[in-house]
Amino acid sequence: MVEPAPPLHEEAPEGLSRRSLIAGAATVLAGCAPVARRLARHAEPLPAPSGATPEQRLLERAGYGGRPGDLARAHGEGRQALVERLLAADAPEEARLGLLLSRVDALHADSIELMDVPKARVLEGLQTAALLRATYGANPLRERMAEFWADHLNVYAGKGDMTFMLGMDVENVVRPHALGSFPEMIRASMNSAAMVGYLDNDRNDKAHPNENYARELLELHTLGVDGGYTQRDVMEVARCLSGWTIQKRFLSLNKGKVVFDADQHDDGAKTVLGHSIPPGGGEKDAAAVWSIVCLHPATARHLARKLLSRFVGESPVLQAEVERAFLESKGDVRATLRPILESSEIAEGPPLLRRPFDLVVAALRATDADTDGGPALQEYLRVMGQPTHEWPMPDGYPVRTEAWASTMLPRWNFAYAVANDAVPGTSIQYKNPADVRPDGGRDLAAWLASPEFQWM
Amino acid sequence: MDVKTCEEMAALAPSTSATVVTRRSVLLGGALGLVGWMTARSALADVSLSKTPTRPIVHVFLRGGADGLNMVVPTHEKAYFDARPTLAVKRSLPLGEGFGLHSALAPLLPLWEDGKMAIVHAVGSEDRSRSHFEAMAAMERGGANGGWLARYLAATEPKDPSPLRAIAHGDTLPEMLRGGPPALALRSLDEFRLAGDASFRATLDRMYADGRDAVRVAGRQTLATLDALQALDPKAYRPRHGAKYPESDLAGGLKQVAMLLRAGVGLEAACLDHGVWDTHVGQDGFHPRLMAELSGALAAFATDLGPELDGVTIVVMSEFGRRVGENAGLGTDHGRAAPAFLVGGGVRGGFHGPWPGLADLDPVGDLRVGTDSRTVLASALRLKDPSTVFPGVREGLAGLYV
Repeated sequence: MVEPAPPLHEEAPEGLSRRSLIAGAATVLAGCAPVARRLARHAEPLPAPSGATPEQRLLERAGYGGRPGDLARAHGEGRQALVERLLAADAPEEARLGLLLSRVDALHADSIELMDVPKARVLEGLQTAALLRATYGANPLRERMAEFWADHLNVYAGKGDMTFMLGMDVENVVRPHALGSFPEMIRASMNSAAMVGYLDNDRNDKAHPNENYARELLELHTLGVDGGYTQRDVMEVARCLSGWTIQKRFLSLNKGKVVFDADQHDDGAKTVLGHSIPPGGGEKDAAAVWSIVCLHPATARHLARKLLSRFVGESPVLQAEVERAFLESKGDVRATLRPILESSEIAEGPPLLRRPFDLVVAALRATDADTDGGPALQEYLRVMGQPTHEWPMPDGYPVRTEAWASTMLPRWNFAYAVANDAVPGTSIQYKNPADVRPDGGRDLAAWLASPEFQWM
Repeated sequence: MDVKTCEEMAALAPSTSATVVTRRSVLLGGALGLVGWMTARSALADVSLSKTPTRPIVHVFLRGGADGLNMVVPTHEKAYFDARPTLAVKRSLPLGEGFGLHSALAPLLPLWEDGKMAIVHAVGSEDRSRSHFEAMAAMERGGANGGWLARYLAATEPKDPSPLRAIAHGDTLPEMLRGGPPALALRSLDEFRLAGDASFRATLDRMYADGRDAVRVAGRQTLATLDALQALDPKAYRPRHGAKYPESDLAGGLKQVAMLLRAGVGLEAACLDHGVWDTHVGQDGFHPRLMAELSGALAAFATDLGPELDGVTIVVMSEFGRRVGENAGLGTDHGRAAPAFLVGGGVRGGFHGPWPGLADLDPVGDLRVGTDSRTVLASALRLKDPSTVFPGVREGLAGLYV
């Protein structure tokens, strides 16, 4: 689609990047051996390999863990068939999921109609829907990736009226493209009122460009912070995106939708990552930015790194392979995921910590729970620190173990409550956890609260 | 803490643990074990009696990039008013030297006038990406991998550290506390209670008894904290000296910190987040509210501590400041430098650090960084050799602390 642009360095090299710090970290405290030794004592070792089979790993990471019987079925069909089934994601959804979701008005009404509904109720509906889909969705990898992209393109419900717009963002941006085309997902996101409003592009005009969306589009959504762009590029992208706003006129048919206001667009010439954008481009400027950034090699690197950290941890060997798969497939998510799912790393690498959402869904699935996904469960997620759509910053909930392994108490309390059927709206159909994980014991609360269950 | 060299830092650790009962004895003795520990180890008592070098640090991070120019207003700079036709603060509380305090920060004025608050101009990191996440990472890491506070806590770790030695008010651990001794993320002391019966507790004790992975370490620390908190009654805590904490997450967090300091459970570091200060749009709509929350909470905390404020180091900073010129949305975009506020802990009140001025902005239009955040932190930690915690940093900010 576009020739990759050489990175420009108009400014001096930018500060110490996270990556250069990681690279230099081992040596940096060498001058103070006692402190370095003390730190080493606190290095965070991962637990010993759990002995999980590749099929179990795939169920837990390319989904949210199995329901009773799933692991046996996966072992029966074998790893490759499981990978194909996960990638195809074409199983029909269960009727009960459709029934439960039909009650969530936030998914079925547009933002303007929703504004008659109390905000708290709309958010509750969205959070319920996310939990139900992860728990009951017949295509686990699609659900996993929907969560991944919702983090990647995070929109904070707590800002302004974003809550009312988030349902459409979920339905039109994240879910349709979760296993599809990355560039199309970004195009949809650029046309999502939730994103445009969250990152203030509705207040970006030719007189005073607002850099917020432009910066995060480059830094978080596409190129990555070490993707070779400069502050100058951020400002040029902001000019390209000026005039894209949310229709606020009451009588407009497009009210609440993203529209282009040519009067507020800066129509001068621009240069983005070395590409000249001629003057007079109008609304085509945004498309030009889109075509420059979506399939840029830096975007491939950034996405590969993020996907790997979520699925296997760091892996220099796989990194190159995943980048290649992304670029060769023109950003097809399935093709990008395939080398990860087929890798030995996902099967044999060290365990990854379950985030609170992973933990809750995995527990519900392992116990074959009947749940309404409602406020009682959501409260547990809140106490654990991961209520859906409530991460305020645009980078999405953290992934790293160090962020989450800071207190176990809410996890234990959740484990105890769910195992004792003490969560209103949720009842477990406890069968045999040993079907789900080989380490599943007889004491359900203990199993869900165990160190082993926190990892996947 | 007066630590001179790296070797001294390492040697220092065991001496601070003299009065601490071991975790085992706490676990075995429960509340009984704790009584001795608490009386022997009140951080505030320690400080006021000058018996141990421990001086607790309370760090408030203004997330999102606080617009320092509208907090500590450069009233002497015409360029400020020119660049902000709508957003410039026209009336502020005079601080001297050509600066004024935003009226929403008025609760801090008594601390300033008493010489208990310092403002360091134009603090920032060397990160120039203007990305929230890079700038926070640069500041929280302080030039090495892992958090600067984690390195400090590792360097000064006693043999039997309190499970409540380092806490973060929240659900996740900030980067500055990562990669060192275990630290606890904790939102509400009130709700820090384990469900279930004694046998569930016994099961957890057994399952988490061994192992050095992150989950097992956090699990043991959580269990020890449950025991430590059993003897406390957060609801019964009464602030002193007439302090009234406003209703806010930050104020609630600081109140809990005050309670833990008083309880003498060995708290040495507390991290609190505040924000989001990312005022790209309609800044005047919420920037004053954020400032009021911050100042109200800090003022109540300082009042509560009373004379003991001198033994507690409070540091307030943000990952960056904001652009000098206002934008189309009556807000400001990401900049480079913002003032740091330091309260208590023997700080020398008044302005510190150079004011880079608005006549010579950086090429993007931002106030330049006048003081590296690491030198401020090195001073706050009383590090004689800052490079033990901040590699390559030779000196703190001279004269910041008595």
